Amino acid sequence: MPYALENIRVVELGGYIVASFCASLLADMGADVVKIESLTGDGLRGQLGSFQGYNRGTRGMAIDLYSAEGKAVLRKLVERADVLVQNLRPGVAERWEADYATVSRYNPRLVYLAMPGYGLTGPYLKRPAFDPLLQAMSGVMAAQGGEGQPPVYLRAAVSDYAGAMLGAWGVAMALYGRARTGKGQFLHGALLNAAIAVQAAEFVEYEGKEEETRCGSLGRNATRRIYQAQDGWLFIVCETETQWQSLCRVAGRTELTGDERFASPENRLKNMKALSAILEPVFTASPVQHWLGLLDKAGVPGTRVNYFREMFDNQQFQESGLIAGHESADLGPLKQLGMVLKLSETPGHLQRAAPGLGQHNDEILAEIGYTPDQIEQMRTKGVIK
Amino acid sequence: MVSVLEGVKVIDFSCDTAGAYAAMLLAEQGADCIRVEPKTGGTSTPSPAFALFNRSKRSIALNLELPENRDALQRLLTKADIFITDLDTAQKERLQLSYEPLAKASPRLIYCSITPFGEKGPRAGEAASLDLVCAFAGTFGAQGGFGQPPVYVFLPFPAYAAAFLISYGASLALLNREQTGRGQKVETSLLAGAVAMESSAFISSPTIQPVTVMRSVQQGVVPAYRLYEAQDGKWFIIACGNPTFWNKLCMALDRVDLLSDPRFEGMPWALADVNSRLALTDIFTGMFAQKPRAHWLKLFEDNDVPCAPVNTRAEFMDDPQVQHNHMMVEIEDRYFGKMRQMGIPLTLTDNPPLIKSPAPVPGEHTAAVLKEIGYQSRQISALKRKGVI
Repeated sequence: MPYALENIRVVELGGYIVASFCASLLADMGADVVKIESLTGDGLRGQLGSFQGYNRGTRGMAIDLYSAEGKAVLRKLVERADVLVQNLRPGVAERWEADYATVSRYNPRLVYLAMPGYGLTGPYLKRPAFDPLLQAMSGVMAAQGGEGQPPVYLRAAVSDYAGAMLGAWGVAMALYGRARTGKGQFLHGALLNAAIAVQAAEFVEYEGKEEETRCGSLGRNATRRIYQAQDGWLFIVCETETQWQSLCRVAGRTELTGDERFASPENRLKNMKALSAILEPVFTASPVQHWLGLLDKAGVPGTRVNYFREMFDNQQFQESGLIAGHESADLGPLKQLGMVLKLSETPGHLQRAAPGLGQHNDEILAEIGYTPDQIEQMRTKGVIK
Repeated sequence: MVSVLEGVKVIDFSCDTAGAYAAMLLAEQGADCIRVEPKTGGTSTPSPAFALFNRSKRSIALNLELPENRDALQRLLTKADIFITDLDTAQKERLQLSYEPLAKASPRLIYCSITPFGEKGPRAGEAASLDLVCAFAGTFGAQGGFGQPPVYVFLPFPAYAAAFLISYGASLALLNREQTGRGQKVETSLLAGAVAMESSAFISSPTIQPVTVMRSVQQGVVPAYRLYEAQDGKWFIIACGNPTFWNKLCMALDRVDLLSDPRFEGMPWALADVNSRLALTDIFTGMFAQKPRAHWLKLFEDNDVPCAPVNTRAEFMDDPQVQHNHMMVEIEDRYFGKMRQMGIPLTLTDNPPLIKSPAPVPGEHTAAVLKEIGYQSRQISALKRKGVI
């Protein structure tokens, strides 16, 4: 069965997260992605695990794009490419002769995605952009911390990931457009836009908007939160009156159903501290599995609070196709994210682990017509790694 | 210049955020999107989120308990290109909306399905809330850090990830259909959305030693890549993600001694020793408490050190770059009146996107849509009289 992006060639410039993961999502669907790094490598190579996560499925080259020979290699790659993805700071693409005006002249079928930090123009144009900056600016951190509390840094780089996914979507739409018109085009988003898109429901402003409720850092209220059990952590969600009464039975505290303080969702919300104080010691007394058994029988939704490292052998993850394994040039055998999107007729696959620095230099240079002698010469001159 | 999905018909039958959001994203890139409201007789007021996620759509209200209405939906689907639904398997079967029969009737249909845990595995079919999926997926564990209590993540990002992934999948299927003439099934889940946005942490290898954290990581782990509080109690973040920015930071602070300090070799990422990490964090914490935030932000901006203030969302809505990018737009909503909503996050320059209309009143376009799919005015009136629509 062919892949959805069979025969689609992608060149990725810029690295870090947004361009890399966008290209990686395209690779998952069968595209041949060439990631081009500087001779010192992507800024995130220092974090080998993260780098693997952002660059899975792609082939890697290390080229000095400021040199004339390096620019010539890039041109040959872009000439045969269908897609170029970049998250470069302003001016860099021009210096590499990889800006849209230049490349579209020799490859009008190219779909060119720019995913800069803040936009193509505007007051912040020249500022550096990384996900935590966008998290801080856009309200993610203040909201996670809660009013009057220190802001909290989300471990997931949400604006980068959102940008990568929106970018991959844009590329797919532009390729669809090209299939009908024969023409490529320039498309763009921004990390800033993505930071808003990934908080969409919060970027609605109207009269009388209320703050969300919270129970410290553990949940939204006393019946929708994380509790510590004897041997781990438990998450419960009680939404209906029936579930509340069942929860009281599970906890062995049926008298709570008659307690005025907890007699309605509003009262339970108002008195969540008191209710938490009653339930905390109850849950701490027994192991997670004990509670899950009781909650399940009582019809109250609950789960163990898991850590990623425990999930690679988990049946739900495995059967969902969310686990993939590969041999990495840098890390040896590894397990990581599988397919997050399934297409029944053109299913994706993880092509390979993330490349080592310049791992595919020779292979790709040979594909675009360089002889072993020429390649060796470039290496001696320091044009490629 | 028309939008890129002009002429593509989308039927949105979603109860939750992810499906409705995906349909809205497609609609604003030009698709003609019809939202199907399950007509139950109730008159609940749409929420502000409804006003956002159903923008640029038309609405048809159908009571699907009645066979006449199920017929109407089937007819609608034979004319559609994309169907988006978050119903579970049992509901799909009951409403005759399973993939196989629909694909048989309309081989060109692209059928998009979003479920909490996916359609396979022991938890398939479970009607779980998003936060329960997050707890299971490892999201709360990852936020707390191994060795620390888990932390509830308030932002429902896995639902948004699922929306983006379905938009991507639907567009890939459109592209493919240009060649094959056939549609297909596109599937994702909230679980997939949760881990898709943590692919950097979702890694297991014998050569990676997982870090057990000794201290809260809620303000960040790496000293040059974390939150700090300034003298005036205002918070800001620095994000020096490579050696160049780490250099710039030390120079801006007039602390080049830190660059040659053996304890901090390998900054920013390769600082393996926990004590060095804590030592450097303490140095910065002390330093930044000496001056107000405005001082530090100015100093860092002047020296190209990546930094940002911690804003609330309300503050960010008025940010000049947000305004410049048209990422907050004014909408005259039918229920909420004048409100501000997010704009369109992605632009194809040859096929510009467009916000076509505010969210419809549920059922607003029922008669018009039925007419489009071949119902006679007489038939529509009859259905109305019978209270079917």
